[in-house]
Amino acid sequence: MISCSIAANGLLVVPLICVAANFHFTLEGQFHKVKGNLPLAFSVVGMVCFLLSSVLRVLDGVKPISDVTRFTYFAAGHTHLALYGFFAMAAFAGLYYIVPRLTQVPWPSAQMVRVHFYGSALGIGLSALALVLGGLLQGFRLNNAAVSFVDVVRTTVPFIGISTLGLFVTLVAQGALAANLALLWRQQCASCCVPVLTGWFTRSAAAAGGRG
Amino acid sequence: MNNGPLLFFGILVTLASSFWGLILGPQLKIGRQEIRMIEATGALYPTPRPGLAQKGAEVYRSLGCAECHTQQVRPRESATDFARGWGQRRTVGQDYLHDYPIFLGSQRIGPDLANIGRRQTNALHHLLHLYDPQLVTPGSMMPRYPFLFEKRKAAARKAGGSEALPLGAKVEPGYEIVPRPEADALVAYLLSLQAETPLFEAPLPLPPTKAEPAQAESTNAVPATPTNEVAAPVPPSAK
Repeated sequence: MISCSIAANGLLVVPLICVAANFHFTLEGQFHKVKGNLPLAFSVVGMVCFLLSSVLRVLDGVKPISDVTRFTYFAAGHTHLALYGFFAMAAFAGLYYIVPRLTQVPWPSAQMVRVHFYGSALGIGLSALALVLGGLLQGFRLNNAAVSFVDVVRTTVPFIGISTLGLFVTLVAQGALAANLALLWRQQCASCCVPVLTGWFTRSAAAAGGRG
Repeated sequence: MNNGPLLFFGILVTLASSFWGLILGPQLKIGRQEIRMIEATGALYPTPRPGLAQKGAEVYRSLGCAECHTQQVRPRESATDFARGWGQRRTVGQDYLHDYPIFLGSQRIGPDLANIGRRQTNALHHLLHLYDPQLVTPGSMMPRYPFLFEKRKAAARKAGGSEALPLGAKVEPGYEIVPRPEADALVAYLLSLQAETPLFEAPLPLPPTKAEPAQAESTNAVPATPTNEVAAPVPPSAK
């Protein structure tokens, strides 16, 4: 049963190659457009993270590798890549594409968008890299009975520190996105929505007062 | 849709095969295991946990111990679990018959606990370790669980009572640290964690590893007696 699931895991390589090839040939000759096209940049990072996390996941299933990486931070690392790196980046790509079209104005601060992009990419990369490398080192030391267990656990401390730092950078980057959205709201909605909302409130307050 | 039936059956077969492989297969293979008699000894295995240990399992669950501790011993060819003294044989489905949920764990930020009741039989050691891991394992990453203990006036205790932790000068004079019922339950659970009974599908390796003292170096297990960091119990008159 275990061998069966390892084989199935290995078969994941096939769709992975298809996705990678599809992605590559879609973008072939168009790579110069990535610069200055933020949704595209976000999708490229997301796609790279997807491929990386899938490759790591497949490798994690191979017996000699899983003997090392099992019960370590390795799995946490490729889960980071899949969730934050792939899903979140793809979602941001969609966000950056849709919002200007819905509001029919460009993003208020291009600087903030850049901060968000580089912060997210750097933070996720740092965090995932630290977890994957730390997990590998932890695994090797865990499988060396000469190293005491406390030492094995201590090995991972700096890697966890770097990973936390990476997540903090990601958090700051999300702050830039939130600030950008707030600016956009102030620009676009403050003039039209706020009077409407206050109108509702005063009317409902008046109604409540009339009842009372 | 041109190939509707084909598509339907394709999806059906895909889902059915994964259901077969992931749910039905294991269920048929190990789903009907029950307590059985070990022929060599005539004893039943696994025996249900005592009531206090069952409560302790809930404490173990509520504190999230399984986030950092696994309860599974890997076979010799995969890992050094045997050499670290975490077990003498790999764990199999039979070992978990009485556990629900099963605290298999997925990360080893702490050592494996599948055989902690065999490795460390001293309840006082476990209590001290829960109160402050640094007392018994210097350098440990485990958090303290002081809320499992009660700090109360030493005078309230009956003379000769031995439930207070032997912390010596670490407690302010006149007070003592006494385990709450949760701590006692958790320790009873830890002591009940044993998976070394030889089974047909998981026999003890031959010759049995009997170099236990030599292995103690490579684990973070400590000698059964409290180390010299921990003073003898304070007599109630000492305040």
